[in-house]
Amino acid sequence: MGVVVYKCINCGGPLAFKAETQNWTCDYCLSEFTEEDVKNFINNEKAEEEAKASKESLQHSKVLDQEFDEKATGYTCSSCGAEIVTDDTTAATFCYYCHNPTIIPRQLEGEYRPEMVIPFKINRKKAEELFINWCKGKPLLPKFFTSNSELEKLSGIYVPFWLFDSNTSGKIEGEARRVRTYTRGDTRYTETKYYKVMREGKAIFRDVPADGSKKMDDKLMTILEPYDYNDLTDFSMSYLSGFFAEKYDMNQNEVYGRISNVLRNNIGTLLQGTIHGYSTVSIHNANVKLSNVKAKYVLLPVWMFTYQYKGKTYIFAMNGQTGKIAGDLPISIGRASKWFGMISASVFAALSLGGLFIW
Amino acid sequence: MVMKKVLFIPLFLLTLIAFASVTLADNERVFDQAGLFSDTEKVELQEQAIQLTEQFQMDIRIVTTDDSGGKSARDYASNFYDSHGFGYEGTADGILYLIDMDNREVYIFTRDQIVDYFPDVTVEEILDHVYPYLTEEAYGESAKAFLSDLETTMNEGIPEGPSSSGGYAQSDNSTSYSSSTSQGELVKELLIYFAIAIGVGVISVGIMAMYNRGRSTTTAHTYLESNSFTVTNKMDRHYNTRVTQQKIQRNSNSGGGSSFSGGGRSGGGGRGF
Repeated sequence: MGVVVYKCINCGGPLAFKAETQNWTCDYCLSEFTEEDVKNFINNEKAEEEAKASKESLQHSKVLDQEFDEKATGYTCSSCGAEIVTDDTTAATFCYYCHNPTIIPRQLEGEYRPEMVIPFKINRKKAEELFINWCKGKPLLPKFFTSNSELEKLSGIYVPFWLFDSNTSGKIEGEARRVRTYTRGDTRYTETKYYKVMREGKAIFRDVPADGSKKMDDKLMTILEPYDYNDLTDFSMSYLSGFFAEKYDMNQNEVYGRISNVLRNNIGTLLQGTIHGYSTVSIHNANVKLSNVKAKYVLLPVWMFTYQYKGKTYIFAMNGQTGKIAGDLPISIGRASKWFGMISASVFAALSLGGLFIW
Repeated sequence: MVMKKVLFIPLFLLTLIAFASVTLADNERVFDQAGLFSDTEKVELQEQAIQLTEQFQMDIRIVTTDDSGGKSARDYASNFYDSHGFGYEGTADGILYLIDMDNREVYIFTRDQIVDYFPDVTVEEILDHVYPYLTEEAYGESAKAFLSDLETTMNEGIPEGPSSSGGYAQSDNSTSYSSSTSQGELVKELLIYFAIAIGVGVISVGIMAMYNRGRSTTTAHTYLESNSFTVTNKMDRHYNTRVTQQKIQRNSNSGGGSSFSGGGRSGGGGRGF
C-alpha cells in the first residue's frame, strides 16, 4: 500500500509542517524547506508512486479479507517497514514504531481530495500554553485540575469541513405591541397598540462551516468557529505531515440539515433585527428558501485534548488557527458552594445592615 | 421613615384645609335609601357612628337600599364605598354595613387596614348577631347590634391566626399588637433579604458555570456576505388599540397592606335573609 513520508532532500529524515514558521523542517539536519521546494520534490516522486500504487492495489484486493477492509486498513511504513494500522477515515497519522509522520494518499483521492486547507498556526507548545491559561481564569475549576492531571493526549488533527455558500430569502410574520402609559388626574392609562408586522428579505451567506466527520462532536466543532478564511490555501498533502488528518465520512447531503438550520436562524435573526420601535415582538411565521447552494470540502486545523480527571475523561478542542477553545471544564462543587456562600452571605449582610440603619 | 413622616405633616394639614368643606358635608354616616330606619334610630346610629369613627380612626357607614341596580350585595357595597370616596383622613380605612332589600341580603364590607380586624370568622359572628333582627324586620336594631359588635371587635385588636395578614396596627389601643407585628415585619424583611441573597448567589454561580466552558461567538453576521442583506418587502399595520385604566391610590400614611389592582384591599361577608 502506498503511503507518503515526506523526506528531507538533504538527509532523508522525515519532514513535518511547522505551524510557527509555516514551512517544513527536518528534525535531524534542521534544514528548512519552503512550499515550493516541497512541491518540486513531490512532483519528482509522483510518477514513481503512481506506478507503485496501481500495482499494489491489485494485490491488496486479493490479500485482505472483507471485514478488515471495512474497519481498518493496513499500510506499510515506507521508512521502517512496519505495518501502519489506522481506521478507514484517517488520512495522515504517525508510524507506531518509528513515529515518522505518514500520509496515506489513497484516503484523499478523487472525491475525498479537499479543495483547500488552513494550515496549523498554533504549534503543540503554544496550544498547551493557551489551554493552561484558559483554565487559570475559571473560578469554578477544581484547583488541581491542571496541575494534578496530565495532558493525556494532545493531537493536532486536520478535520474535514464542508463550507456552504447559499442565497437565502426569507419572510417572517408576527405581532408587535407598543405600550404607552400616561396619567390624567387620578387615573393611569395603559395604551397598547397592536401591529401586524412582516419582513421579507434576502441575504447571501458564504462559507458556513459544518464538520463532515462522525468522530468529531458537532457541538465542540461549532464552538471553534469562526475560522479566518483569509488563510485558506490550495490543498497540498505536505501540510498534513506531522499531524493527523481525517477524511469526511458524512457527505455534503448529510450535513446539509445542520447548515440549513443555521441559515434559517441567521436570516430570521437579520430580518427580526429590522423590526424597530416596539415594546414586544413575537414572530409566528417564518418561511425561508435556500437557493444556489454550493459546498466546498476543506480541511481545518483542530487541536484535540483529552484530560483525565478523577476517572472521568474530558475532551476539549482548540481552533488550530485562532486558539479558541471548546469543551466543558469540570465544576468543583466545593468551589461553587464557597463562591455561592460568600456572595450570598455578603449580599445578605449588606441588605440587612442597609435595612436596619438606612431605610 | 422618619423623613417621610416629617414631610407628610404639612401635606396632611393642606389636605385637611382643602377638604374641610367636603368633610363637613361628608358627615352623613347613615344612608337610609330604602327608608328602613325611624328618625330617632337614624340620629342614634349617626351619633354612635361618628363617635366610633373618632375612637378607632376608621370610617363607618350604614347603608340601606331597595334598588341595587342589578349588582350583588358585595359589589353594591364595594361600589358605594369607593365611589363616595369613603375612608378616614386620607386613608381608605373603613367599614360599611349594607342592608340590601333588593337582594334581601346583609353585607359587611371592610377596606384596607380594617380588613385585618375582621377575618371571616369575626364577620360570621357579627352576622349571627344581626341576622335575627333582620328576619323580624327590626332593621334599626340590627344596625345597632352591628355597631356594638364593631366596638368589641376593634377593642380586641387584630386577631392572631393564619387569617391575619399582619397589617400595621395604628390605633393606640393595640400597642401590644404593633410591637409583635413589627417583630413579624422584621422577620419578613429578613426573609426577603435572604431570598434576594440566595437569588444573587445562584445567578452569580450560574454565570461562573457558564464561563467554565467554551462558548459560541458566531452571530448571524459572521458568514454574511457584506452588503448582501436587503429587505425587499415590509409591513407594519396597526390593527387594534386597547386602553386599560387604573386608579392611582391617594398617598396614605399606611405602609402596609397588599394592594390589588384598583388600589386597596377589601374584605367582608354577607348573608341572605
